[in-house]
Amino acid sequence: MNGYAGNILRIDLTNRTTEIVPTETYKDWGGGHGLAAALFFDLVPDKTVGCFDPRNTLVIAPGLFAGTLVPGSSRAELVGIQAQSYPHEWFGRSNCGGRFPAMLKYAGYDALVLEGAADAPTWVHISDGAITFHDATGLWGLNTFDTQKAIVGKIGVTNEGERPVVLAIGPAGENLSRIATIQHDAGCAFGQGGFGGVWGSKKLKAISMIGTGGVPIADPGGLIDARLWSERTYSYDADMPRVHQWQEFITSHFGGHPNRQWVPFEKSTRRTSGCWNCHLNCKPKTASQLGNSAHCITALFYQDWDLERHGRVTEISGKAANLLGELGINAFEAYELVAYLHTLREGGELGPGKRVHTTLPLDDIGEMRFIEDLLHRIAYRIEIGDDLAEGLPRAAERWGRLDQDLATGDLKAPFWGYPIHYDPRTEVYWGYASLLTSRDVNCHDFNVAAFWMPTLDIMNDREPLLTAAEVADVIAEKTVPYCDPFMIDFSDENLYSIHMARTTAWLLHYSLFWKQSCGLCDNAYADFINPYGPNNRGLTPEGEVRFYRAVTGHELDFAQSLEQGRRILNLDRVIWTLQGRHRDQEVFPSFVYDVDAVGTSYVPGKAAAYYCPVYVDGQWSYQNVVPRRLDREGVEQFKTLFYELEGWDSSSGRPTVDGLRAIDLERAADALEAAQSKLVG
Amino acid sequence: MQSAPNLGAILDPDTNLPEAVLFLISDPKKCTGCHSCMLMCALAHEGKAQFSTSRILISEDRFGSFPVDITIGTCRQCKDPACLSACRVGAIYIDQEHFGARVIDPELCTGCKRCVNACHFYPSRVRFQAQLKKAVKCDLCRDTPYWEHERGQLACVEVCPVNALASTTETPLGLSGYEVNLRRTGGWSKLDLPTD
Repeated sequence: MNGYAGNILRIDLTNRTTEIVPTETYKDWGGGHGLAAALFFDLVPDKTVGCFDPRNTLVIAPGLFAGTLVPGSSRAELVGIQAQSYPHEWFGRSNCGGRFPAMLKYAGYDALVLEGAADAPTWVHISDGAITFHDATGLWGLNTFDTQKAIVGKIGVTNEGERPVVLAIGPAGENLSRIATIQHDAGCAFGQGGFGGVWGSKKLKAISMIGTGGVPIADPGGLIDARLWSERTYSYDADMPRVHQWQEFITSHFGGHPNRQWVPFEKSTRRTSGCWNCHLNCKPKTASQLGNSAHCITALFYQDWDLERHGRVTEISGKAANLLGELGINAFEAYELVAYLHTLREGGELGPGKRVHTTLPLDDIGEMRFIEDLLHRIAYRIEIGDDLAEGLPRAAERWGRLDQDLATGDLKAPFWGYPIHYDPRTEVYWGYASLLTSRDVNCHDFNVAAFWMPTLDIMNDREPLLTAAEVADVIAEKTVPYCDPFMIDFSDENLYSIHMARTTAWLLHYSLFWKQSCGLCDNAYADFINPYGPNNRGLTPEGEVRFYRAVTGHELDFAQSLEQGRRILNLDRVIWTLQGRHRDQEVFPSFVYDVDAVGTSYVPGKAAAYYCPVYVDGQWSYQNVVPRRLDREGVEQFKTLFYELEGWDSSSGRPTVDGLRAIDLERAADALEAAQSKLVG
Repeated sequence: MQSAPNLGAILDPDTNLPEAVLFLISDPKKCTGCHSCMLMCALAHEGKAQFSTSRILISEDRFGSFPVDITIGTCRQCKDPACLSACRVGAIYIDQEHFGARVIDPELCTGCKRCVNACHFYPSRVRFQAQLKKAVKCDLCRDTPYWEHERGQLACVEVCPVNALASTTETPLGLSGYEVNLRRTGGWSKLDLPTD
């Protein structure tokens, strides 16, 4: 089977046994998320189990392209009942890059299924297909970096200089934090979902692997040609880059380039570094090791406070990033968490003897002693850290403030308790896609066109690379099968329309197949706008199908690939339905409807704004869309249109038995049919 | 990481063997550790995506410090190739029709690993391919059945996304001649990355 290692490994942690399942059995699902969700569906009879229940089964699956020469494809998915979402522990997903997705395939496996729970700390090692269980008592308590180093020390580096790959949890995971990560190397992690805490509940400290195998490729020459074509035509030229500020952010663009601000305190002694087989190489590595491999929110989560305190970004930001990874705490949650604590403190609600009591050194925000103290309290569940380890919504609930803080927006957690990322009041599709799944969707496909390019170029007083009308043309050209220019119209009149339903559907279908199942990196795909491409156009959809053909040998029409994504979304949706999901639960917290979004200023002296393409009075233009809030009835109207577009029952938001059978989801249809009498609503 | 090679044998060899006229050079400070070169090499030569058959070796400690965190293991096409001298069946030869590359004939190789152990460098630039029980080494892309290319193009150089690898027809001077600064192009500094 081209693109596959050939086997799936089931690991029974309770009994310390393993079982091999031929990947052939699940080949219809591709790799990554599709494969993992199908395995979860089949192996977990009761989808309502709690996240820390030993019956909660986690599946880790590298993308179909992982380990091949497809650029930016060393990514893997993890699925299972998540600990982070609020108020329900929904079936969820997390994604991680680095070395391990490729190495797992080289070690012989297309997926790992983690079942049961060990009765003592355990570490599992995989070496060219062979599995060994190890007592991890001596590792329990170590941070994620030291755990990885200890395991590599025990296994050793190969004669050819290859280091084993390790996934590990730290103290936060051991202490069952709902915001705990599973760390890999210095800067990669399954960050969202709180799956580090789930590993902790299973007493699973680490999984290590090393392999000398490979991945068969249907058309090696075709893959080489496709790789060189994509790099030469669409990737940044390291020796002659065309630097647009918006190319530096972690957002979907094949021609993006390394961000200059991830470790600004150490510019003269660093390199840019990447996951295996990547063309972008977005992570920094430094001589001091501070901020090593930290990028995007991990690099930034404490930078603003450091900057405000010291007038510049100092080494403190790098130390904080390292500590976050060592303890195994979710960076996005930590970012919002510091802001929330600051707000409570400014309001006189937080501090010694206050409504929310803490002895945290709140006067020292921006200093290392504050963030070190805070993160340690969370990881070891000390004082206020015991609440925060539950994640912000559950902490606020314990403090009796959840409803009021979600109403004012003091707690910005708009989708299932996850911290705000892109604002659902401006880039509405982002909010919709999050609400309709089970976490911050974190798919940036439309993000350059919708926000970064116009906002940063306009704030920097230069013409955006493409006009709004040209952007609409690009979207119409590349969003097969809809090909609808109004999918990128962020005018007030279009927020609840069928066009925005298509935007949301395309984002989910594309991401579920190409990124989460094939393993393409969200930082590079989908590629709509690209300063290096012909006429500033990106490689989507030509690149994806070309890579797929070369790796698998199968012709796949781009519209068919989106249909595959729709099929995977339907499987996820059945799992949520069996967990009790109903459309009535899919609502934003009050602040999204009652408080205006105000945008952000990215240039000193410029007013906060959020520039998006809009179609108004028959003309395309970029306009500042804030202040803006959403309309409750409008969101309900959108949901109805979206459910109908997906072929779901619009009164409940659930797939139908007939609809599932029509897309060959027979087992899912059977399960839904059997459960229908028990479903509420 | 690298043990000290026998510099005398490499730099001042007592040999009349024809020298190579094409060399692979690298800039370890520019390398990103993405390993694309290894995948490309294996794919071009063997048609399979894997590291274990790559003729170029990237070794990285993800917890290491710049710049010693990455080493690039390239075949030097030595003037006095120890691998060639060690081979007792004449499986390693110099192809003067292909830039003087030191080449292994897979038909003659018995898999004895003498050449692997004889290489002056660590990790050895001659790799033992366990599945085929043969040794493989850089042949300056002489035998790449899965990659059509112009003569003189090297797979690893072509794929490197940041141009941390290059080829040269000038004989590198000493060991340091193989590891060079490829960052003084102007663009690297635009990305705020060090050029010294």
